[in-house]
Amino acid sequence: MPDAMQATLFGYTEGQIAQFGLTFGVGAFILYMLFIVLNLALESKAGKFGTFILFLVLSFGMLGFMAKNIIQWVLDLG
Amino acid sequence: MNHHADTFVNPEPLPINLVSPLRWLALGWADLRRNPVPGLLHGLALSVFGWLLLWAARDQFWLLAGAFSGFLIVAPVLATGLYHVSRSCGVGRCVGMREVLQLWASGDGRMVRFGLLLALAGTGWVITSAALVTLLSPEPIHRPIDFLRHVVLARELGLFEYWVLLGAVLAAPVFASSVVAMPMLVDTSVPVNMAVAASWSAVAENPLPMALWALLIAVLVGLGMITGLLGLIVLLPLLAHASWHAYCDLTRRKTTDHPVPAPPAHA
Repeated sequence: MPDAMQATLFGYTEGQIAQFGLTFGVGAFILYMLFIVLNLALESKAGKFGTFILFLVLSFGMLGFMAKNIIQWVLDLG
Repeated sequence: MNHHADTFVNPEPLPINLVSPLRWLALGWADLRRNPVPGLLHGLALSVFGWLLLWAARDQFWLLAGAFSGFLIVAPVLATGLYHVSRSCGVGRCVGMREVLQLWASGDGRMVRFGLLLALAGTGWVITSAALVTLLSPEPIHRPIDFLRHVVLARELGLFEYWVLLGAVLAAPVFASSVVAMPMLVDTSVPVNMAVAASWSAVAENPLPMALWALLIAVLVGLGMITGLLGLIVLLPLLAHASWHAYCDLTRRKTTDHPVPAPPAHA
């Protein structure tokens, strides 16, 4: 199918919407995981240092995921 | 030249909560504004060192990664002079670079030993991360552009995320060991093992604020790096001064266990 005939929604192609969905969907999922880990850490007997490790690792993971998307977005713009 | 500051606020230690890291940054910023020269000179010296590293190892990714991650891990040692500046600000005294250099020249064996341990941890991180990337990368990584192309720009979730998670797993004990220990070594005469134990204890008592503090440090250093290291001229001393205030708040209840030398009475 030619590009001009490709269906768009608010000017975005299906591929772009899928990419947004993946980016924000995974971001929201990570936030949800953070909430679950907080509950687990509060209720479990992992100890406070375990809570620190869990949060540090998960929040760094989230930061890395965001940084990767921002770097990709910036380089794609360039 | 030492002189008494016209205005100073000696902040009382407060209970730790999720706002505390922002308070430490605000207090660190106030210290930097009150006595900017030592901090900005530290920031400038470290940024120039970073530029030299970038220039010298521009085509050798693992050397560059090792040098920069080692630098981040050893940074608390490099900031010792600024802890002294913040401590003096707290009692209304503005110290100059001469006094900071005297601290460096004192050759305190505990700080040298702690710095070597941190450097060892940094080496462990570079070896482990090199093993991970070599095992999982679809292409060999030799130059920074290879890492960018095959790891950072890989569309699918995978190697980059593993690499960051591995970094966090290894950074957690290093951060826990140094966040209180390094200012404590400057401030007191306790041995290294007691300072590290106090540091772990402070982190275990305040897991969420300390995870947030570690994250803020990573974000600010990252921001400093993406400005071509220019931002680090201000951000590194800001973090060093803020780390002093983190230490003050975190050890508030322990002052009776490990009394610090009484500060001189201010005018």
